Amino acid sequence: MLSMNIDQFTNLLQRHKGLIHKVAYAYCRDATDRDDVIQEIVMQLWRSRYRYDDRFQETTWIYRIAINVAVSFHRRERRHRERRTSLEGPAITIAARVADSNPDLERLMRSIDDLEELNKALVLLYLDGHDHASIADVLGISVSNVGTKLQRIKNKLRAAVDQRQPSNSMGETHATG
Amino acid sequence: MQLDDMKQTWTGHGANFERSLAINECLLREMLLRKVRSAFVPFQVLRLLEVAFGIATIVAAMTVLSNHFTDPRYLMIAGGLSVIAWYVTGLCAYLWYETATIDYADPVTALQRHIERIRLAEYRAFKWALLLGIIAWLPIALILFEALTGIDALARVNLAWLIGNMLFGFLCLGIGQVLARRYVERTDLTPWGRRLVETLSDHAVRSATQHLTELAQFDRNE
Repeated sequence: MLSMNIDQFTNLLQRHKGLIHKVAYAYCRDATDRDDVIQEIVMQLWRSRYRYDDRFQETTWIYRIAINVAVSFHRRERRHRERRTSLEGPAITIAARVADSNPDLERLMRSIDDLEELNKALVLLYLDGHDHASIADVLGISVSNVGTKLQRIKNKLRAAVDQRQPSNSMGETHATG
Repeated sequence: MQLDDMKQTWTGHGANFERSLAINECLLREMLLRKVRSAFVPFQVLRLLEVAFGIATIVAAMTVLSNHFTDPRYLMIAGGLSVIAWYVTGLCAYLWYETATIDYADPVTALQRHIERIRLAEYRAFKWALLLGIIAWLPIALILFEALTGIDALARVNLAWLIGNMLFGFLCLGIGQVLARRYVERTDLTPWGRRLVETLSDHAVRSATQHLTELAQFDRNE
């Protein structure tokens, strides 16, 4: 069990801030929603810190919490699109100056957007270089199931990305540039 | 371009984030102290109040029932109230326990299933409380009145009028359900209004059940 104080917690966030941001970015394209998700992830990480089992990797633990929060938030927002959380100003600022004008990334994000919530999580973990066992651990499914699903998603993404590549390249340049 | 080729793009994206992000530690401290302590407290307190109210209702109904257990009118009304109050109170206690023990570090499918089950229980508790409030508010009020004052109010009320009142409750519920189905997609509802409309129209239960089905499908290795 890990009992960390706020300084250790800040260091942990510092080490894995990119991971948290990537999960939020994949589930929310709207900047306000993204900030809300990041806050909720940080809050759940803080609340769960006593339950952290150090037999697991830090990243596995953070991924589980981040994806769980993002999926729940995404489902909640889908149901109540009109509702916006009334935060009195940003409680936590993770200042980002990520001005991605990479058309490949834009295409990738759009393809990920089309995936169903749990498949999205699977692809995020795969793209981050996790092996099948680690993905299975985070998602709570069998290793062989991960393999089957990944293969299916790869085929689907390949078709979607190939379909977008020729016709949308100009639109993407305008949108991102 | 294939998924494996995208890994490089994704890694670059991650590296870009790592370089460009800076955590504001002051705001982080403030948020953790303020939000974490307050975010989950109202929900837990509300559940505990519901459990306490449920237990009080059960005790009141059982007291009245024990005084008139040979009378079919009391057997039906106080007995029915006891059964439903047990069910709703049980659901509220379950909700309180489950939300208190929720762990976001659980595997994704397990945690999502956990959350959907909590949601289903919440909708059911709300729906039964609503049903009871609309259809049987008068007999319940009379039973509770007797439990509090000792005055046998139910015996003094005309049975036909009591049944008419309950039938009117059914009619209101039917109209409410039709309206809820009609307005469930409206976006300008308050959070409480949305909860009411989604529960009455069964939209919320369907959505939670559908997510549980999706999770079961995701779990299957096919």
